[in-house]
Amino acid sequence: MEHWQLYRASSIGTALQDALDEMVQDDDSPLSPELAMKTVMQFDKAMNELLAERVKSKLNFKGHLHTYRFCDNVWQFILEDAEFKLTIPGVGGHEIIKADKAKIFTVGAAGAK
Amino acid sequence: MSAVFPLTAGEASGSALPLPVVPAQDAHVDNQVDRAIHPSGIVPTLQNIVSTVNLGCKLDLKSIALKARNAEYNPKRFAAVIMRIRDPKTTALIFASGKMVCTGAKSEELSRLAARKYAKIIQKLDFPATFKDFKIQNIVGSCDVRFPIRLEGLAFTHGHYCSYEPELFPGLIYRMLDPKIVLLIFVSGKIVLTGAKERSQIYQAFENIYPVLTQFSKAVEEAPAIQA
Repeated sequence: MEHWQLYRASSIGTALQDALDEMVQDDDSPLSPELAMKTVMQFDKAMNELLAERVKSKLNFKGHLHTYRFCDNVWQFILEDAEFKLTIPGVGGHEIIKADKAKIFTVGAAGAK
Repeated sequence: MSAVFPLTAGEASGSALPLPVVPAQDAHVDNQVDRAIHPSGIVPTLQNIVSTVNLGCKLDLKSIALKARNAEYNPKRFAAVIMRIRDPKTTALIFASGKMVCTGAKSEELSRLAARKYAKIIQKLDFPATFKDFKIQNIVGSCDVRFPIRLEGLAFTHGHYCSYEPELFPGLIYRMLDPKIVLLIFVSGKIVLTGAKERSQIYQAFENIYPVLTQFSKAVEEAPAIQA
């Protein structure tokens, strides 16, 4: 099954890839590039699954929809006067972030391409 | 705007004077209605206009979806770009053949204006779009006669034109032959008229049905029948 690779660009994703690159280039006991690739793919799988199953915090947002677009299974939204409300379970209260303009890109959760 | 001739119901009946047409804001009876065209005193409100136009060139839908705002393109579901504009508030279906359907406008002119705006958007995306064969395909109107209607009675006496199956749909479907208009008639007295190419057909169909509806009014003020 294919998984979205977009989490590779996150801090933890780039850190993993940097570490793997270093290990592949290690002259003493190099990691095979195949194994490095497999590790990155396992990372994709883990990120997709864990975000879906383990993360219980909620983000609600609202705003005035200025523009939308749907193409290649990607929704794009441009919101005006947007307000994001982050609620983390167990921790009381929530964090509110306001923005005059916000751009939201979404992809399908199943990783279907 | 021409002068308004206030009329009472009494004066209006049988009046053949060419009276100025006054666009009514809503379908309620008021004395600004041109009784020559609307003897009932009720003017159906136009709710939706569907029009088509040929932009006269092949279109690359994916590039339109990527470049235009407020566009949806999901070729797995539907082979057209769905685009919306806010003024006039409408939705367009844009096909690769260059043909376009514009829906949602509240009048013929607004439908044409909206279609022109979509054509202009396509032109701005560097397609040699023209504006050929604009045609109104359907007009939907609605109004409220403001009295309840006995649908069973209507269905029974006009059985040839009616389909009334409350288990399937709460409204009575009346297929008028001239003008060829379909009417949805509800117990509440709310009426939907559809299938018109011209607004006059909506008006004519309503004037045709109105006397029939009064005949099947659930007379609220009528005393319960005394059993002999």
